[in-house]
Amino acid sequence: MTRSSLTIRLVAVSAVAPLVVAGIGIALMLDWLPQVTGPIVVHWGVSGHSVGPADAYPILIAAIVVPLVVVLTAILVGSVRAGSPSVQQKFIAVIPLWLSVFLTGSSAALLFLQRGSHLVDNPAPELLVAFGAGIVIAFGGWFLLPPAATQSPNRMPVKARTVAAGERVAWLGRTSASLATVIPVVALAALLLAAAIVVTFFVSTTGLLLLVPAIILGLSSTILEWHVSIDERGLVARGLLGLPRYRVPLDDVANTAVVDINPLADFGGWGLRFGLGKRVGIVLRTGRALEVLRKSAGSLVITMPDATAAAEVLAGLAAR
Amino acid sequence: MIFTVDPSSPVPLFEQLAASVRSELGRGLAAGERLPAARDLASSLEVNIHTVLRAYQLLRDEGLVDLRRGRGAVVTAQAAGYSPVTAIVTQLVTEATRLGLDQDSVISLVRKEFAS
Repeated sequence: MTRSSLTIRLVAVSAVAPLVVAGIGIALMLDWLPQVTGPIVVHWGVSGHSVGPADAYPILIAAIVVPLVVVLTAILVGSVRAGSPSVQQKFIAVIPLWLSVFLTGSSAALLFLQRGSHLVDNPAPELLVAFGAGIVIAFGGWFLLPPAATQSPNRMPVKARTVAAGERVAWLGRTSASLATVIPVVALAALLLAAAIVVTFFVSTTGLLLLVPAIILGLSSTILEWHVSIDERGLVARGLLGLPRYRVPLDDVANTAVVDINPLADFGGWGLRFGLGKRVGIVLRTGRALEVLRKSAGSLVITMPDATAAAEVLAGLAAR
Repeated sequence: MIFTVDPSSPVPLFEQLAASVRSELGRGLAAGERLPAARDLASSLEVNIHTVLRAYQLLRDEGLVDLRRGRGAVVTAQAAGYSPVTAIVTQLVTEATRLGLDQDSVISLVRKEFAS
């Protein structure tokens, strides 16, 4: 499938369909507004509900659905390339559709029920039905899109390096995310840590809760650099702290290739990613990656600039 | 970075390791890039860590890497300029092989050029 025809299909599902749903919902709600006589319930909580003006409903839909559709569609269109879409791209495409049906449907139903001066005490049935309808329609959108690719596109086979008898060959290197990725993560972790300290000492000990995201981000930043070694023992990739660690012994190597990775399209994002079929991705940047298909099912993909040399050495060692 | 050693070769292991790094420089290692930690490289190639350290010291003496405590071996700016020479050597060997010239004759040609 060409890039432009795939883009059209994806945009139809991720932008056109949810906006049509939201548009119809907003039009219906605006039509019903004159029949709402007083303030209606706009918020339900454990301590009861609060009321507000009825036009909060269509405004809420316009304010949530439209920006979400625009942002996700923009991300999606940026990641499109010729060929089959990836599972991740299809997933990103149906999220706005699901959310639009869920939010628009439940809001329209709740507004419809509150015409006159009737108040809805428990919105759970409407929310549940709209949630389910969203899932069903999102599934429909999923099947309107072409089937997902099962393999990385742009696979380039490599020529195994000849390893002479008695010769010892190893490939060692590190691969890391670009500074544009690392700096914001580390800066945010540092900021949260500083906020945790300040709030704890000057405001209250609840500031300690800020340590949780600070620690999670701090740990996440240690998987933005990996050490990779390929030798007689196989392939070992380990994060900056030595953990997590992935290992593929030589006798588990079924095939080695170089692939071109687009993080969003192939793995739905950056970092340590898990895909269908026991596929693990160490996805730090766009571009070249080493792909190892394992005999024991699954594969390991590691983005690295020197992927070709690494793949040739691994293939050579595995073939010996 | 690819490293190769052949224990059956008469060339000392640390020389072979240094040669691996030199050929990597030829493939375009940039200034500031770090060589693998000596411990990791030693265990990957099943050689003694002192062999690796000796290779790194040799490269430092040649001005190709800086050895810094805690940072390991870092490629120098000077070494990054090394690649044109390596590229020419690769080309030289390819041409020589094509013409059926053996290693010794090529090396003696190079020696002669240095002497002139």
